[in-house]
Amino acid sequence: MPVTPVAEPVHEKRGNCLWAICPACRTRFPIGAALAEPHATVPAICPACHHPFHPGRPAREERSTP
Amino acid sequence: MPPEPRPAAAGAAVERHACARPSLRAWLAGLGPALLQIDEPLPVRHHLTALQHALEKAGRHPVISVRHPLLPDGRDSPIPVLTNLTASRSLVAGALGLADHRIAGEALARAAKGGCPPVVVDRASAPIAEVVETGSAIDLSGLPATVQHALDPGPYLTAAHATTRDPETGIDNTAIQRCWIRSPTRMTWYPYPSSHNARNLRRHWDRGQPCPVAFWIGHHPAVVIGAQAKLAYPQSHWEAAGAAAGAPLRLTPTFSFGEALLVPADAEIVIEGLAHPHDLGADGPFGEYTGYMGPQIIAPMVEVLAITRRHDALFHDYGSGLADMLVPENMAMEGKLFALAAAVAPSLQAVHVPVSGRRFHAWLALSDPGPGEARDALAAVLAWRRLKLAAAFDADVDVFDEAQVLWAIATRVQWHRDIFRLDGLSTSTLDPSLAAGARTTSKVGIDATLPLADGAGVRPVPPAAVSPPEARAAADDLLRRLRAAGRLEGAPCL
Ligand SMILES: [Zn+2]
Repeated sequence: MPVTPVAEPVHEKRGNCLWAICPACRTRFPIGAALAEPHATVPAICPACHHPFHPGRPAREERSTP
Repeated sequence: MPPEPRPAAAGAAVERHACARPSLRAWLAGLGPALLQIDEPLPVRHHLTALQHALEKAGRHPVISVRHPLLPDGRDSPIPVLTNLTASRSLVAGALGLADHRIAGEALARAAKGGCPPVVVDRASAPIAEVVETGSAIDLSGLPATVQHALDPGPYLTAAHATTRDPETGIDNTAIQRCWIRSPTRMTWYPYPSSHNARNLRRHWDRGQPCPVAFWIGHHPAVVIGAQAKLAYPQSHWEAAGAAAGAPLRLTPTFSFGEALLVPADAEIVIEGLAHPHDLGADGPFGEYTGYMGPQIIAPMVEVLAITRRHDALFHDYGSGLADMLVPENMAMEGKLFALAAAVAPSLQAVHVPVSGRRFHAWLALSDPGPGEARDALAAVLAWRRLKLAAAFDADVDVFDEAQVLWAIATRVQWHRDIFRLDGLSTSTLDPSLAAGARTTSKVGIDATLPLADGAGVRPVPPAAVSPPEARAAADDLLRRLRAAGRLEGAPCL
């Protein structure tokens, strides 16, 4: 399985649950698979700080978006 | 453990309401001490749902009315919040005109067969049209929508009935579907992909058209429960709602869409809007019936065109994943399971889908089942999508008392003999115990009925240890007097 070399991932899989990790405040929350697609057009929204981000893209790329 | 007497389910009268114009406020007026009025300001962010959880833990399920809801932005809302409308089985049974909650399964299985056509009234005689807010007057954030649980992203409409229309046949569809308020004029709307509203939405989008949708909030609990009947597609829910309420539902044209989309005239609040093609946003996480947070998903966005309401509107909130939400749906499920099991097991007396098992457990009571009949009944109900465990009991076990259910499982079951497992059946993907990617589940049936009686009617097991009837009646009377005198308040629990 290819590994994306990023310091801090923005999603991870544990058991049967897919988690997004907010790049702004590090809150973890469960997401559906469609939001974790690399080319998803709809961003996830952190339930804690409302930061929009794409959990399927590498964290480094994500951080450069406003 | 003394078995409680059960009401006769077969042929029990289903009293219909005398109420000709059912509404939320008409029902509240008759609640008496079942209504808990909170007069102090209460934040709708977390605090109201926390109160529901605390009451549930204390074993209390009153209807809660919050006269002074505090909005997340610190404003006072002039619109009171009502919640826990359907958190008690006996209250729900009363709203449906049932003499006892324990006959819900059989009564609802029968009621599913009949309908009551609605009537259409003009907007001048519709309370829902008393106030109309459009343009810059629209402010969703002024509604006392609750933020329920710790990971909820914001305020949600939890008891909004979304009504849409099939563009081909013109037939309407209604379902309670959550909405996350994102701005004064925009919110998400989550119609399950397999829902009939989602089908209507796709049919509009396939034609390149926005989907008109009206969300109506606040009605008599019988209308709310009746409108959630699981029907074919396309099939209107108005007749089922009228049948549950015992009176034709009064409908009125919407402000934005006129007769093309009707809403209940006697509701409290209506939010009218358009879901534009492929206008999508993130929705959730949100507390689910399983007691866990469901994942954030992608949902349509709604642009609000108008809010219409009564001048003194009430706001209805459902405690998601609490008894408030589980009780009415589980009672409706009892109706479905009763019909499935009774088709193969004529000795079926009652079905209980307990709140403790969310929607995964069902307890069946049978009266002297014949050879194999209990297993027939179990196999029939296990076909129901969400069920994972079904157990069958003799009718001396009160299946509505879970201490008795567990007593019977402890003392009447030999595991090598009395259980069977079915694998690879359809399921709810929200079940957290499923393996990653699994689409099917394993189910178990437990036959806790006792061996058949011999020719003399004597079962080959010891008699239950019970007090004689006259001593039980005397003890009940003494207990009533002690309770009335407040002498039981310090008595320790188990
Ligand atoms: Zn965040």
